[in-house]
Amino acid sequence: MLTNVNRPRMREILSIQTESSIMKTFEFADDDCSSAKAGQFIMLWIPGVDEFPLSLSNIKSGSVSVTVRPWAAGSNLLYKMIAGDLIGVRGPYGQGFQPKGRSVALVGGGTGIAPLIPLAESLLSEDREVSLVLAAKNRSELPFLERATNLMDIENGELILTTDDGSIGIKGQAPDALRKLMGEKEIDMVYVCGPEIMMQKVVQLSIAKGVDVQASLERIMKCGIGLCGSCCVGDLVLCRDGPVLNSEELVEIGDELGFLTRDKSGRISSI
Amino acid sequence: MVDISVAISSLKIENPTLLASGILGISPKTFRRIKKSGAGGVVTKSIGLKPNDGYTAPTLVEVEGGYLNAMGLPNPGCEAFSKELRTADLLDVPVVVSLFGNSPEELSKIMDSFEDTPCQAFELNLSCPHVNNVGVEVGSDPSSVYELTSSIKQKTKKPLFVKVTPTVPDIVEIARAAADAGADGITAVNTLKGMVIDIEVARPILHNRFGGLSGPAIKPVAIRCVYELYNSLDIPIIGCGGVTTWEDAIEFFMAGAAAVQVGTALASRDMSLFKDIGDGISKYLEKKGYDELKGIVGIAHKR
Repeated sequence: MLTNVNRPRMREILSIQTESSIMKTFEFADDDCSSAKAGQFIMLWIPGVDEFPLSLSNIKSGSVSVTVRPWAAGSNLLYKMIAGDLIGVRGPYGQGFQPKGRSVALVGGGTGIAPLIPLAESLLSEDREVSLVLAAKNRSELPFLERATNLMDIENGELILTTDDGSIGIKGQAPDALRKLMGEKEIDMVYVCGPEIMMQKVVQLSIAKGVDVQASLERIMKCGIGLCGSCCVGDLVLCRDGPVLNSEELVEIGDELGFLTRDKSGRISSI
Repeated sequence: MVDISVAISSLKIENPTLLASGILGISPKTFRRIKKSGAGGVVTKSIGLKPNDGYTAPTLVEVEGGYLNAMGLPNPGCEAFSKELRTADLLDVPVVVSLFGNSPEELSKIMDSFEDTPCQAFELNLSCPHVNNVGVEVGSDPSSVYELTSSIKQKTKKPLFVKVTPTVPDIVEIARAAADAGADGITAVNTLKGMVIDIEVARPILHNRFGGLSGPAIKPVAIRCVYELYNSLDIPIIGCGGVTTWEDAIEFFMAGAAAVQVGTALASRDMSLFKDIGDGISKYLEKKGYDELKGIVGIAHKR
């Protein structure tokens, strides 16, 4: 019996798609990842360079994908890879989003939009009413525009775009768009993923309105399986207890959310 | 239920299981959760003089029977970490601070920073197999072990344990050097140096190439080490290496361990593992008619 599941499985990149001026989507086939829940993450190994956590931006039987913005050695090299190149994959890991609510709002900012697209797909397929709020700095940095437009072109779906400069959608920030949406619809569940300050605002707004909320957090993850402790938030081990946290957990870590993180050494630093 | 509290030198713990060094061990709030989950106490990550990011990932990979890791001793450094401990609510959580360093001066400075913190004992890591000059090289030389241990033992009133490597021809010689130098206990054992190669890309998986093997695969080695040490030392031994179930813990006690550390098992179990191990030990003792844990410590030496 092969027990070494927490070891990279080498997979060929099947296709690459430019997602925005700063993001690309990489497709590969992996059965374990095909059975992942939206919001779960994988550890991606770029041989010889680095291994880092990524959430899945597409989860289908047959193939899955990750969407990356180059920001460090590993993602920089991945960004330059071509179809046929090998990447190492382990996981999926952690707790994904829990489907809840009748009329739900999904709020994503930048790369944080990635896990919300497969979440929107699964929520729509369960006949929930879904409002998808996508936020970015400007039009060129807004990812998944085509996919989201097609996906939300359905009776129980609504797509809301917002950019800092107003080059597409409402000029402003994601929390403002959510506040407006909450005034128009009886939203009973909020999902959020994006920059932590944005998530903190969305969490506070939701809790203040008495609406249930789940947020997918990001911290430095090295092992991905709850051993190394580099991703601890409050008394939670984010790679195991998260990355998606529920309302209760988010309230529990309220003194850290949006304020504190740990660097690679484990030192506390402000966000 | 049989009382399973133990004292290792002056460190008193309600349950003979400690979180092993290197696992979690960085956030005081997590220490509280681990204690609440049934652990007797926690050993922190190994702390050095300066902040250290550790190695580039992959830092960990599963193998048959365990894991190979090369974290590279990441830690916030003694100044930041002692500050965090000082302000944390760790009343009732026995905290053992693990230390690494390459000179008596460096180690003394690190220890000084923890004097007025909830740290109740120190564990000197002389056995990390994947960081040069502070680990297994030092810990394989009895005279270096003696020198480092004796020089820092004088600097503190807290109990000092020394964590040893199994990858020496004679582990007793190393542990005896530590004991002669005044160590209050021996933690046996650290991980064993190993490597994994991916055959698709033809390179070692760990970025550091080499790493330390932990988990069930090393348990027989650890049991043997504890057994040998129990024969030759008068100070308590803390067993470490592959403890996953209460049966494993009992095996370590029978070999001569006064307590055990649990680490790698948390990859496949949640923190309630500590309570399960404690309950299992207690029930076993009751069933076998012992009224305290001491009754079985070293019992396998009877022939």
